[in-house]
Amino acid sequence: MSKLFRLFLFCMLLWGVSYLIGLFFFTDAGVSSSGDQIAVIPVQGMITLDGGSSLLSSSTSGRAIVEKIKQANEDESVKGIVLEINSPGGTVMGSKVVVDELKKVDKPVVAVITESGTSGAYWVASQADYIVADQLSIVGSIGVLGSYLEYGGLLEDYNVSYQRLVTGKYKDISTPYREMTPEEEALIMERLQGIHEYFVADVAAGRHMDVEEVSSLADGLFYLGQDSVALGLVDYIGDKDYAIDLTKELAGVSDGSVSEYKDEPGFFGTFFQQYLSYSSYYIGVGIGKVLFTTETPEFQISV
Amino acid sequence: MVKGQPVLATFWRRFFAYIFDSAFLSFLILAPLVHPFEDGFSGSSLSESFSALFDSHYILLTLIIAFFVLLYWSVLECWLGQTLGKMIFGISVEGTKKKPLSYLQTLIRNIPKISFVLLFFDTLYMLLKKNNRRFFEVLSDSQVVAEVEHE
Repeated sequence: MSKLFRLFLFCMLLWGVSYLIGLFFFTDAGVSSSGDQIAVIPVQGMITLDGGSSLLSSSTSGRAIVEKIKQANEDESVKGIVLEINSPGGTVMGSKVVVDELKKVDKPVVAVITESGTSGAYWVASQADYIVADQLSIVGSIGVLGSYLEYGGLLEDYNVSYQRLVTGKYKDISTPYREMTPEEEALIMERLQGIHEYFVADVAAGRHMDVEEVSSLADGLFYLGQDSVALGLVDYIGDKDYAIDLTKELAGVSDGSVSEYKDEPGFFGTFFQQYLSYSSYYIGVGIGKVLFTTETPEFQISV
Repeated sequence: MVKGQPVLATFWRRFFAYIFDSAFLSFLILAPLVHPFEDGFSGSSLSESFSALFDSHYILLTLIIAFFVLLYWSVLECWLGQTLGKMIFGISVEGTKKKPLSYLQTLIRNIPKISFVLLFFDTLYMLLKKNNRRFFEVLSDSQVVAEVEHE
């Protein structure tokens, strides 16, 4: 028997034993798969429609969150959902798809804001039945952002000119290569205002508040959790455990287990996670994902 | 080409062989064991992951993984003189006293592999002594050699 064949046989034997041990001893040790459950769905980081990341920054996928919400809503063993939010917001569509999906959920939903739940993330939180936040959580910042860097002047200083060739006079609106005209600015502001009004209306409906009341708070300012209760933006001061207990109470479940709907780490993430320290794992995730960075548009509207 | 006397394998060859073996172990052999626990280690906070480490299932898993790691390296090095990674990088393990290696020798030389910290200091010994032999290799009377070919 050749050396390679013997090595192969031994490795197969090891794998087989590993598989059997995993199957018989550890299948139930991870995510609970039976009995009443409370699903905890993370909403972490910037929310964009499809997600993506580089070594220095990352965003979470709105579509991926939607899938988790759908899965939790369709799973009969899941009696309630906790949205664990730590996000500064994100793109309009990234947040909106999550908001729209939450409107379809027919189970109790509690949002818990940990560090930050602002802008699009607050839009998401507002669709929950209740919002829990820490006294010092950052909440609110209801508004729309479409700012961008315009460096036409800089190009001019270096004798670089922008050759404008467009069909349709607004085709290159918001291009960073030239200054925006007052007319263009007014057109964009009109559209931002449209998004703003939609955002405010959704928050008002989700929080059972008047649109005027929410509008008065929707100047882009953020609030601390301790002040947000009086303003009607948050219901309770508490943490994740509090939110889970509240959800169990709403769902009428006393002994439900908690099922964390977390993302599977990628190839590099798994290697570093299993072999090196926790911090090295996140470095590994960043290095691995830098190969799959998505292009971000120059002009982007965020909530 | 004639096979010459084997020489002590260089640090980098051994390092890459080790990385390969580690990846092979992690992604293939240990994957069915570790998969149910991935959620626990990708937690949203360091304290959650740290707490998860003290769960009885994780402790048992850690012990089983250590056992598999020792088994993989010890058995293959004793039985075949090399693991898959060593085979790929053209190095093998042999005893220093011109006798076949025993399971006890390969077990002792691979003890540091169950702990990254132990392995680090074991390797540091090798680098400081500049003799291409880890401390546990000296204890177990073994060494890692590479075959040299010349005309």
